Amino acid sequence: MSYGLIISNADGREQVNSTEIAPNTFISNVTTSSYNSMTFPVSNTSSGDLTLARPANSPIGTSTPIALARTSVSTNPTHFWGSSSNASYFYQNTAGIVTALLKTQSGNISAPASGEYGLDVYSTNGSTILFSATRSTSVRVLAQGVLSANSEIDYTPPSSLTFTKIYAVVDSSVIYAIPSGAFWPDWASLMFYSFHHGASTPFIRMSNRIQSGGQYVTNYSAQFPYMLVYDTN
Amino acid sequence: MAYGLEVFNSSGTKIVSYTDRLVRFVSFGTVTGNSSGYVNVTVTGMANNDTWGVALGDQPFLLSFNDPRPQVSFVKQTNNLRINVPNNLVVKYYVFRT
Repeated sequence: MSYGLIISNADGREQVNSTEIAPNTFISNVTTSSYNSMTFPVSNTSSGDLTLARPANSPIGTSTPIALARTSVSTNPTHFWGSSSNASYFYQNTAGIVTALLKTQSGNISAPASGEYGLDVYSTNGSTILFSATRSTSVRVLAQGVLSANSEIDYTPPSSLTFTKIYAVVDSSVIYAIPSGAFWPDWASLMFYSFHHGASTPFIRMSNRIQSGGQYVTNYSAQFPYMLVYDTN
Repeated sequence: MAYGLEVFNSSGTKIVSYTDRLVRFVSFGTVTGNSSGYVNVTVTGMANNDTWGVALGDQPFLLSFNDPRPQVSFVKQTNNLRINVPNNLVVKYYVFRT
């Protein structure tokens, strides 16, 4: 580039690049949602926002993993799996969850005040803010990838991190369960996160499974893009 | 000596480190599947590597009670995001860089 600013991290990944229209993001609207109000989309969601969620600070039980996913399909009212909207014979997360929004800094970060110090980076168009060190509440990516059909992966955070500051990006997740009927077996699409907070070494499992009649189904094509982030603020 | 960007908030908490992998927003939108089974979305600069991330906003189903399996997937291509989605189903997508 002829001029501008690029900041790379120790791995060579770009953290800020003033030649791209790719503003940094920030976490906002951190909200505790009770068992009775685990609805999706969460309040104050704007177009383009990614939705973050994690189990409540004191999840139920001491060892029961907490399943985290959206449920239902796009044309129906949606909520999180485990909410009071679940049929009583399905999983109930009575402790609730914590949600947040990951928003672009462009258009959502206020202009610097007179005499303010810090660092604001604008794109080459001179008006689109890309990164504000002064007001930023960025999150750190811990894990990101895509699970193909019938697969799962575990992420174990280092002990230096606080487990209750780890959020999952839930937009791509879904748990959709259909009980068996007279002419069909039970079905469950399970593209979700499972927070194993009570394990001796806590970890988070990302799964892309379909179950029918107690067996895993293998012949489907859907991918589950997953991402875990850490609230450093 | 390490080098890079560190940001501290007014409480002295380090909120950005030179080791952090940050999320940068690129684009979002909605596509509707057609008879070809895929939709191409132009994303300038996109490449098939892990600095590019994609999230899907929904996993629409073909609503049949005996086979409700989700079928949406995507491929990162040069300057293009290909979303594989069945005919007439609608899916949201998000593109970001990390």
